Amino acid sequence: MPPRRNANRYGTGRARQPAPMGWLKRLFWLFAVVGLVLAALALGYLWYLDRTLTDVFEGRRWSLPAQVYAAPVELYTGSPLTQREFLAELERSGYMSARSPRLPGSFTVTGETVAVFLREFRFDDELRAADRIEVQFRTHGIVDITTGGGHAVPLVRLDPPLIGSFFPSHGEDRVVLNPEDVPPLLKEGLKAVEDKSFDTHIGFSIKGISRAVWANITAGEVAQGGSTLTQQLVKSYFLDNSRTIKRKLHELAMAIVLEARFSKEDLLNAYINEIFLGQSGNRAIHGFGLGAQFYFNRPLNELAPHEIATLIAIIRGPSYYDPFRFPDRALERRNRVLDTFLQDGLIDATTAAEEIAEPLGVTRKQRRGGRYYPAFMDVVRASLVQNYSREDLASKGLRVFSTLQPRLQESIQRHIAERLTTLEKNRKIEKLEAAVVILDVQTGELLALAGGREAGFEGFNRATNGTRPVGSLMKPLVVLGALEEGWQLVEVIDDAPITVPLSRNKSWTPKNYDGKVHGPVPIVKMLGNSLNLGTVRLSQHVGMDRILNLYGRMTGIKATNPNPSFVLGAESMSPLDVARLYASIANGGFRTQVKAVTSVVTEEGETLYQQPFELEKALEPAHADAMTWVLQAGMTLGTGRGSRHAGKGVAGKTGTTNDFRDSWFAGFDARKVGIVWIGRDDNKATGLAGANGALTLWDPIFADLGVEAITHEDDSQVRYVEYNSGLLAAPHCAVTVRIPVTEPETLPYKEGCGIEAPESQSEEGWRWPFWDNR
Amino acid sequence: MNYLLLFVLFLLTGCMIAPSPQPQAPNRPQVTTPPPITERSTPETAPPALPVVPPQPTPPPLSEATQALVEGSQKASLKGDHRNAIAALERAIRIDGRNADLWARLSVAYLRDGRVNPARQYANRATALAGNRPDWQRSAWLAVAAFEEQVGNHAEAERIRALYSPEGRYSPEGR
Repeated sequence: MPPRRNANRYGTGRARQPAPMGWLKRLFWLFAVVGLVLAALALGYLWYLDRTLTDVFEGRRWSLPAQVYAAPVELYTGSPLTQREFLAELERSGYMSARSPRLPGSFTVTGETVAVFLREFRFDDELRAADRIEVQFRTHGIVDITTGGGHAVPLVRLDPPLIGSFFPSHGEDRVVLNPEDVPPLLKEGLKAVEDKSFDTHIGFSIKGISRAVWANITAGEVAQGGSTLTQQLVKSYFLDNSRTIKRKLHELAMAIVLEARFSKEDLLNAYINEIFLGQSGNRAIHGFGLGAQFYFNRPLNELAPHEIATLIAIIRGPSYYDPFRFPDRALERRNRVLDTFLQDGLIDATTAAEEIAEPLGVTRKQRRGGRYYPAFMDVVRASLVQNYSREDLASKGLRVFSTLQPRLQESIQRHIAERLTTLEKNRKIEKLEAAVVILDVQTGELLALAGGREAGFEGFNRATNGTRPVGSLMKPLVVLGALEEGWQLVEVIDDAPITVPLSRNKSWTPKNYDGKVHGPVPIVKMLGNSLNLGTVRLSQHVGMDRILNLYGRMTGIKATNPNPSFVLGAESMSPLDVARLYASIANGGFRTQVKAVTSVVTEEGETLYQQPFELEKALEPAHADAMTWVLQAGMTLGTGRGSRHAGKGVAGKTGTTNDFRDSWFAGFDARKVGIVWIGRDDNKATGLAGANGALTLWDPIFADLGVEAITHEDDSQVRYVEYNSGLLAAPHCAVTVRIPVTEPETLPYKEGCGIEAPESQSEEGWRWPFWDNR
Repeated sequence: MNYLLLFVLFLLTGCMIAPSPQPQAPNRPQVTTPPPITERSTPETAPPALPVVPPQPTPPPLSEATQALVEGSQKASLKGDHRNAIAALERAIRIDGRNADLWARLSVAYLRDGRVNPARQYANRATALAGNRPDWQRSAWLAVAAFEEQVGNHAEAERIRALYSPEGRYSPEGR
């Protein structure tokens, strides 16, 4: 037997044929090994997918950009807010007019009363529950506020509109919703329309794919997708839009992993927060929370069935079914979605008929949830990046409360557009640009800021970064310096030719705006009429050191051009810095730190950051008050006299630079400081001075915002003074202004003009005070 | 009669010590030495150079809305919630920013929260806004006193409090 065995092993003939079982065995082992290798690779791939997907999914599920809110509107008895303005605020915050305000987010107008069902809102300091209030108006503002039960309410805040968010650089913005925030109709509607077997499949659906393939074959084109919600979620999270077999298999594997790893509820909620619903510039609208705000300017839980249907309709093709660009197409698909709701028993026939009869109802773009105030947001961003990383801002769900008053902001943007168009047309000028800054006088809070003519343009911000020579806006510093040196506003200075020696045998010979010489004028008129020669002469008495020191105290900035021409505004400043300079006069001598963010709160309501009002004493209050009186005089009789608010208790100063390149106006009332710059980006001449350029834009803005006359707490030292001479006089017999003086009994008076001369002066008559001494 | 005598004496004293306008040195460090507080740090030069007016009826210091916010602030403060106490007063100041009483209260709220620098700024602001109103002057200077106390100037704090206490010569109740 052994030889046979040998023959079998080494021999020829039949004995050399491999046994059938051996061949099969080898094949088996080959397949087994290959199979094992493939299985190991597959497992490795799934393990890799599981790790990657879980990390990314967990990381992104709650990744939430910081949301920035405007300042809330305070409603209180005595508020000057008119009914019309209030209704505009309600609309801005997405409140809907209704027959009766039964649900949060709705309001009803009955005559002069507005009944509002306020939404629940978490402010930075409290959670305000949803509540019904009635607000009664008269022409001058709010006269009464009561609760639904008839109790008087001293004050209440309107929930502020969202004005932007810090989405990541890849441009995905979102408002993350918890499962309990999602209306059941949306959850069930999504399944009905997009994935009927969602509750039972394991990530993909053979039935769904077969149905889609059949539909596509019969249609002769790609008419239907067979992707489950999970596959769509995977695609949105991890993959590109290519339609290759490899990508499809990848998507399938990922969907299976996600299904194995997460619950159906988690996946559906992730889908609701993730799915792409549209594009606005560089900002991608992801998720139904933001989608509701973007398309309807309301929170998701306030949407009607037809609005939910519109959002679901958009999923299939956010560009193709864009309700703004293709409303008919979107409406048709929305109605098909509503039909599906009806067929699946999600709504009854009556509701379906009513909802189908509704128009699309999308609100025009540039509303809530948008990056609509890019110039203001620049300041917010600059403030936040000092304390938070970009990563935190883009993902931690912070809530940022800002100081922006959208009503003011929209007003200034509208007036800039209108005024520049008119100026260009009337004066045959081209390419005018403008910047406007509005600050709260008392707190330094930035209420509105326009960085250019185009409101939504995210480009160069002229209000914060555009530094231009400020011209005569600098002159008050000379007068403030004089006041600190003990001068009086009635003292006379000679507006006569002057040459100031500079270094290296050079000299500077300024001229007046009108090229004339005005001779002896009191300081109040010198500034009011913006006379250059007198100002330079006074600055020589005061000294550049004091003037530059004042500039530093009032703005916190070091001058870049500390030459004599500084006093006529050769120094370049941004409109925002000019606002700080004038705010320190307007608020009684305190330098303010411009503030655009009041607080930053975590998603859970914990306050991370609260910005106090920043005030640092820069001037003696009496000097700031005196300067305010002078600037008021300038608005009555000086270069600001053409203003429609002249003589109504506002203060201001015009500014013009060489060759009419820059037209400035800085003005304030009791509540607001407003700075306006008009010029061209190429720095060419515009032909506009401060008075016929920037002031003509400041005027309608302040008319719109409402002017509140400046009050002076202490006017015991204030006297009527003749504007041309600086002599004490009675207003009925001379052109006078009211300004504070010290020791009035020592000052000269205008004879025969209602002022009795003190005995000490009666023999000498009047004389120019201090004229010979200065 | 005693009050009248006190008042006349006060007028005279006020006139005598009222400082003449002094030009400020250009490099004077404004940030660290606000005049209303530091000028008063020498007790022998009392009383402060405040404008003096005859007694007159003053309007209520707070409107209905700001009163509600002040009460809210007080409640928060009692609970030790200084942050919300401050937030309520800031809301009030946004409504009525020229009200010296509100700035004085804000100063005290910041002191309670341990933030001395804003407290100093707001006490200064309050004294600047107080103008001729005795009630505002009183609350503003009492805020200054609270600040002085906090930074260890007990004598100065005591001196101001004595002047503005109900029996003091600057008190509206005392007139």
